[in-house]
Amino acid sequence: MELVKPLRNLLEQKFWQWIGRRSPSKARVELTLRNIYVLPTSKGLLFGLMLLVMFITGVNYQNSLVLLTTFFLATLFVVSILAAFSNLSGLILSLRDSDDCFNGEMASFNFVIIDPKEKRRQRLMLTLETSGDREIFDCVGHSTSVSLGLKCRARGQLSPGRLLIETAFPMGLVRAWSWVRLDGNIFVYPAPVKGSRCVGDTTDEEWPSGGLRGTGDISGVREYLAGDSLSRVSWKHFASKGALYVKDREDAGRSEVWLSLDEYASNSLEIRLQNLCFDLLELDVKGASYGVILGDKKSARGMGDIHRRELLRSLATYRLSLSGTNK
Amino acid sequence: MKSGVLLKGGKLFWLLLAFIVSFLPVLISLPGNLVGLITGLFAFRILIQLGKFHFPGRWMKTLLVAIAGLLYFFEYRYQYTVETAVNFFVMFSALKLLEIRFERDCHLLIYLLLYLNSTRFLFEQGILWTIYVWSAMLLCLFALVKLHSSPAGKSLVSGLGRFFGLISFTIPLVIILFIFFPRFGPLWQFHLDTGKGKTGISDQFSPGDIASLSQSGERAFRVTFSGEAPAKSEWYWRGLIFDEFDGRTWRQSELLGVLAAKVSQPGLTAAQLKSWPSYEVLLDPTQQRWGFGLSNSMVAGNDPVRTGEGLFRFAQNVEQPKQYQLYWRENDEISSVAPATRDLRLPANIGTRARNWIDERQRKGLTGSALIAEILAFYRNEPFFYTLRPPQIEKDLVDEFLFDSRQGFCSHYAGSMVFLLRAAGIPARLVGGYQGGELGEDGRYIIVHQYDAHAWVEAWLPETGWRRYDPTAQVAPERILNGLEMAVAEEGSFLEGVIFSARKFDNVSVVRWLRLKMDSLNYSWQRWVVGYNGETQENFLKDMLGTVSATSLAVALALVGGGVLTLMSIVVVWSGRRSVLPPSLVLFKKLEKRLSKAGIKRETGETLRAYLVRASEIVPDAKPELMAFLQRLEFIHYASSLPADVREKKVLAPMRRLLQDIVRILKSVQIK
Repeated sequence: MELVKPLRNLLEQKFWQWIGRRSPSKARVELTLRNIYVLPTSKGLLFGLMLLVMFITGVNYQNSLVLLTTFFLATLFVVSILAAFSNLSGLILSLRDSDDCFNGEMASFNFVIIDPKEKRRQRLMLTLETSGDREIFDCVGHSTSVSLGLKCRARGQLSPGRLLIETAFPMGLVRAWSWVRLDGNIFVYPAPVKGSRCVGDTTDEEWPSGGLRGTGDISGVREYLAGDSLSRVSWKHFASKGALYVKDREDAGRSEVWLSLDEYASNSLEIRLQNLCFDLLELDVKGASYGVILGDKKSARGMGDIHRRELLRSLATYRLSLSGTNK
Repeated sequence: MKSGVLLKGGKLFWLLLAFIVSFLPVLISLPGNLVGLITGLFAFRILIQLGKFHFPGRWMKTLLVAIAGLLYFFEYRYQYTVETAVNFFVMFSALKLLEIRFERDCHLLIYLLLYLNSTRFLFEQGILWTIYVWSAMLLCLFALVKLHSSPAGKSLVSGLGRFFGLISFTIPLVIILFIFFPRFGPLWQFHLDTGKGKTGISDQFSPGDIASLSQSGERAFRVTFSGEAPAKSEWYWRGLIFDEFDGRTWRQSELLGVLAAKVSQPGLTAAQLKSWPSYEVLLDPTQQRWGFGLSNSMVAGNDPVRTGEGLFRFAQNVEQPKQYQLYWRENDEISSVAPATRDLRLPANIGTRARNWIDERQRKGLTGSALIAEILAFYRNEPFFYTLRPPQIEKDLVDEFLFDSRQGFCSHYAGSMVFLLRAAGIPARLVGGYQGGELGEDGRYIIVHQYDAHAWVEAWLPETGWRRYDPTAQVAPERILNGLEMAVAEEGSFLEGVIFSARKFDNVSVVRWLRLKMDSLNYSWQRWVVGYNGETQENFLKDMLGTVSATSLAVALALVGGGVLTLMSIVVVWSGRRSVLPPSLVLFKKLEKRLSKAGIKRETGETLRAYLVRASEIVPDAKPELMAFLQRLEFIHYASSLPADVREKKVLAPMRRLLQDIVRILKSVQIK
C-alpha cells in the first residue's frame, strides 16, 4: 500500500497534465469531440449486468423476443452515449466579468454558457472543482449564466480553476463530461482589519484631523468627473439641471492623505496590508483624496471608485509574483 | 447516513405507473395470497408517500421478507418451474418498492421491472402480448428518463416527443443486431419447464380424448406450403402411432430413448431434399416432444428428427412456438418398413363378435385389399352415426360399438377398424394427429385447430406396404371434406363447452375477417420474428453471405452494425459543430468569398451595408443586383413585422438568383 501511493500520485499528476494539454485555458472554450469524455456510470454498469442476465435468459430459452428486447436495450445504451455527448457538444463556456472581493469572502464567478444551436440541453451540472460548489441547470435558449462561489483564502489573483461540466442525460446510464479552464481572474484584496498606525515621518501630509468620521458639510457641488463615486452624485441637481454634479465636501479638497505600508506597527506584512486596506476604505467613504505607498512604489493620488479599485488591486498583488494565482 | 434527493411528484408517479403496468400480467396468474401481499406492499408505499406511515426500519423489513418467504414456500413447496422462479422474482421486486426513497434508489427497481417484463416472453409470444410488454418497458424507460430530467414541469408532449425520438434512433441498430447476431444453443440446460399444462394430443388415447380436444378452438399449428398445397382431403397431419391396445386404451410403444437409433431417412441427402416441394410448420407449444407432418415428409436438419415410422420428434419438449421445415412428396405408400409383431397383437378378452365377423368374411375367401374394402363398406353401409356425444360403453369397447351403439367419432371408428384388421391378420395401427385445417387470410397458409384432432388407420399389405385408411370418411365424409363444424352442425356440439370463442361466431363475417386478419398478423410475427432462430437465420442470410457461420455473421454484424453506428456518431458530432449561421448569412458568406476573390475584401468592422455599397461602386455593373441583395438581407434581419424564419423563407430564393447573377457579372467584368 505504501508503495502504491506515490505511484498513484504520479499517475494522477500525469493524467491531469495530459488533460491540461488537451484542454488548455482559454477565454472561450467550446465543447467538442476533443474535450468531451463519455463513460458509463455505476448505474450504467448495473444496467449492463441486467442486460447480460437477460441475454443469457434469451439464449438458454432460445427465445427470440427476449433476445430482441435485449438488443433494443443494449442499443438504447449505445444511443444514450450519443445523447449524452450531444447534450454537451457545441456548448461554449466563458467567464463573465466577476467582482473582486476581500479575502475571506465568497468570490462569485459568473459563467456564461452559450448554445449557438439553441436546442434544449437538459440536466447539465457545472461544478467548480476548487470549491465543490455546483449547480444543476437546463440550458434553454441562446445563453445561460451560472454563478458559482469560491471561498477566498489568500489575497492575490484568483482564477476559478478547473471547471467540470457534466450530464447524465437522458437516463443516467452514461455520463458525458468535460474539464474546462477559463481565463480570467478576480483580485482578492486583503481583508480590511483596523490596526494601529504610527503617524510616521514618511508621510508628506497630515492625517486629516477631527472630522474623519464623515462629518464634512456639503458646501456645494462640483461637476462630475470620471472616477467620482456614484454614491456622491447629487441627484437633486441632476433632476433640476440635467447634468451630473457631485456633492463636494468641505474637507475633501483639503484632506489629502498618503497611506504608507511602513506606518503600520505590525511585523507581519499581511496584517499591515489588512490595516492599510481598512484605512483606505475609510478614506474612500469620506471622499478623501488619497494615495498609497507600498515599499518604494508610490501610487498616484486620487479619489473615486476606479481609483479605489486600482489601489486595492495593487494591495492584492503586492509582493506576489505576477502569475500570482493562488489557492 | 443515507441522503439524496427525495423521490416525489411526477417522478414517483411514472415509477408507480410503470410498476403497475409491469405487474398486471403477473398478478393475474399469481395465487391469491401473493397478490394480496403485493397489493399490500403497493398500498403501503402510497401511504408512506402520503405521510401516513414512515419507511419501515430494518426489523420491519426483515419481518416482511420473512413473511413473503413463508407465503412463497407454502404456496409452491418443492415446485421448480420457470413460473415459480419468475414469481419468486416478482415477489422480491415488489418488496424493493419499500426501499425506494431517494431518486438514486430507483434504478435497481426499474431494472428489475425491465427484466420482469422480458420474462413474460417465456410464456407469451403473440403480437398483442408483445405490444403490451414493450409498452410496459417503454413506460419503465420513460420513468427512468423522468428521473433524470429537470423537475420543472415541461409539457408531457414535448417530453414524450424527445423520448420517442431517442427510441426511434435505436431502430436501425436493433434490426441489424436481430438479423445478424449469431444464434447459438443454450449455454447450459435448464431443467425447468414453463409450468404450463400439456395441450393437444396426448401420448395415450382413450375414447373420450379426441372429443374433449374437439371442444377446444385453440390453434395447434400453422402450415405454409412453398408450392401448391395438396387437396384438403389429403391433409392428414401425422403425429403419433398407437400400436398397443389393452381393450380400453391405445398406447404408443415408441420409447423416446431409442429414438436416435430409429432415425431413418433412406438414402437422401440434404441437397436432394431441397429439390422437393417443402412446407413450413409453426407449432404452438404443446409441452410434448412430437411434431406433425404429412406422410412421406423428410427433414433436412436434426431437430426434429424423423423416426422410422415417418414421425417427427424434437430433442426437447416444445415450450415455445417451434418452426420447422419439411420436404414432402405425394405417395400413397407411407412406409415400406416391415411391420412388427406388435402390429398384430390384440387383447384376448374382448371383441368376440368382431373376430367372428372377420372369420365369416375370411371363410368367404376375402383377404388382403378385398377384405379391407369389405370393412370400409361395412362402416359405410351399416347405420353408423357420427357424433361427439356417443353413449357410454361399459364393457366391450369394440363389440358394443361395432354392433350395438354404432355412435361415435373418429377414434371409435379407427380403433375398431384396427381391431378388425389385426383380427384378420393384417398388420395395422392407429394413427393420431390432425386432419384438415382452415385456410388463413388470403389462403396463403393453413391453420390447424385442436378441434381438427383426428385418428385414422394405417394397415400393411405385402403388395402395397403401409397405407392410410379412414373409416370416419365412410361414415361422415363431410368431416374430412369440410371439417368438424359441418359434421356436427345438426347436433350443435361444435365447441359447445366453450362459452366465448371467436370461432363460434364465424357466421358473422366481420368476426371471421377480424379473426383471420389477427391470426395472419400473428403468424407473420411468429414466423419472421419469434421463430427467427439459427435455422431460419441461415435460410434468410445464405444468399447474402454464402456460408452462414458464427464467424461470417460476426463479420457481417461488425461491418453493417459498425457502419450504421459510425454514421450515427458522425451525424451527432457533426450536428454539434455545424455552422449555426442562418441560410441568408451563408449566402452572404458565399458572396463575400466571390467578392474578395475579385479583390474586394471586407474590412474588419465594416458593416454589411457599407461593404456592399463599396462593392457596388467598384463594380457598377452589378450595382442593381448588389443593392437588391442587400435590401433582402436587411429585410430578413431587421424587418420586425414577421418572424425571422418566415421572412427568410420568403426571400431566400430570389437571393440565390441574385447571387448567381452577381457571380456572372463579376466574371464578365474586368475589375480595375
